[in-house]
Amino acid sequence: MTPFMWNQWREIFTPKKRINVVGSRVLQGVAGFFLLYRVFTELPLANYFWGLHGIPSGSLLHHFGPTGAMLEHLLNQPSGVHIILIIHTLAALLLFLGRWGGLAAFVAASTFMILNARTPSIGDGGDNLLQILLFYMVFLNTSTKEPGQTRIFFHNLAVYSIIAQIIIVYYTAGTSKLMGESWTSGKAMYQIAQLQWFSLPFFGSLFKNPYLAILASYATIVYQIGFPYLIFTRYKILAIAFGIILHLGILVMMGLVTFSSVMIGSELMLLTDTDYTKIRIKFNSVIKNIGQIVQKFHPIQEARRSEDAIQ
Amino acid sequence: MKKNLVKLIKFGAILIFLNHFLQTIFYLTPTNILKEDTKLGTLNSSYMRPYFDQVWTLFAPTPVRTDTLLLVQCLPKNPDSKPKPKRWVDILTPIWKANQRNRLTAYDRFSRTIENPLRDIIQIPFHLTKAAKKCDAGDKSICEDVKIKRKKHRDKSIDNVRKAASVYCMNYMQQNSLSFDEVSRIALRIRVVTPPPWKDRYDKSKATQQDFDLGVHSTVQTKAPLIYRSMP
Repeated sequence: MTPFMWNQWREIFTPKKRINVVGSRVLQGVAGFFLLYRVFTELPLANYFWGLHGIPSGSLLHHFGPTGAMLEHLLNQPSGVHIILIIHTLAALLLFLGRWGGLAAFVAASTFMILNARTPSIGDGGDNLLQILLFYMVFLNTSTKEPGQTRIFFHNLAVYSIIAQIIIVYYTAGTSKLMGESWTSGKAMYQIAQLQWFSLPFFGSLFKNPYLAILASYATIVYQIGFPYLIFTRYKILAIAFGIILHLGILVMMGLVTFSSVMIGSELMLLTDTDYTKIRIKFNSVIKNIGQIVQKFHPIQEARRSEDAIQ
Repeated sequence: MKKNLVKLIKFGAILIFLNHFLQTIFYLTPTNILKEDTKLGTLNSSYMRPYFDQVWTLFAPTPVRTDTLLLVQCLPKNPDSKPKPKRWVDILTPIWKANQRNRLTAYDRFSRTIENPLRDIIQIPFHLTKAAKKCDAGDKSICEDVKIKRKKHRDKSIDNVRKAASVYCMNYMQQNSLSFDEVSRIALRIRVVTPPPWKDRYDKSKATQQDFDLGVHSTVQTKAPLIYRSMP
């Protein structure tokens, strides 16, 4: 083992401090908000989505074994869905507020799995990703007090797991696109934008332009395949900023609110605490510069005020 | 003693971490000889499903190219009443339009309850694609199994579509103060709309549509949200 590798191993095995604490807290907040958003928008349809006289088509037995039968019995009661939703909401709220994060993530992962397994047809990629991330988030520790070394070890391992999962998502999505003729020929964005289900009519017209269509297709592929490398370079913040813009675009164009928000939350988790400090310093200096520009106009405002006073 | 136990737990956790991500990477690789009918493939599937099941192809390799619409007619109990040619109502487009007007709603989720089973009716479901490919490649032993599973899945999907489409008839009944007998049957039709290909992108007349009748079924008395109330 080289000294570098030995140091890396020691860093993982006996870490001295938690990594990505701010990012982990951001991810908890986004995940909690996402779950609350889903509960509140879907509450009027709760009985229809998950209740006895609704459309549930999945079985809980595959996920929960014999307990699944008990859960199904509960969900088949008139208020069963609401009991699960209340527990789910409380867990989501705790996650959003960053209180008892590990326990909240565990409860949210369980209730979210119950709802997803009960009616799989309403889920999207965002639900799939969050379901997996919630398992890892059980081990995150974002408390203000510095925990013991074992606790730090598990927090860091959870962070590595989330990073590995995001890399896998991007790399799989990118390489799968390389295998598709629609993507390599640049027609994919045009085809998606023509569908009523996914796209606003404006984007349908926009992606008829060959330059835009090919740029959007290729930029997506290059970004998704390049992401696992870029986040280990000095261009990480830029890469994440590009990813956030990409997902905001997906949110507006395709309306995949939940998928986009989970991806944005996950990307924000990849920033280290030092990155957040750098961003904060940069942000403060931008605000200061704006303040100085405004200051230049101050005399005019002063003059106006004195004119008003004279009148 | 305690120190050694902690070390052991940490080693165990790292091994679990490595195993988990190796399994995940293997699970997500394209179909290959190591996954097909091998012990390793079976072991991998049973580890990943259902808790870590994941698909990240995201509109790849071939993105969805068609809009699949559902047309319905609510019919009375009388078996003599048949669907009329000009009375079909498209129940998905208004949901999509409402979702486009306001993205922060559950309309998208609601549309998925219809759209996803509809796609499972007209396409080979994802979990049967590998077996169907083998059948197409000449493996006759698997064809019968694919046929039976596909029929079972199709019947289940039609039932799911029937349940979801019944919401429209239940809303119609509530809005017009009708009795259930007046909407107790529902006629279903799938319309597949294919936008013009790239070379004809400015010519709307090149879009094609194909209809498939799914027959007349009994309406399900679902706990129907009044989702179609404010829609034209």
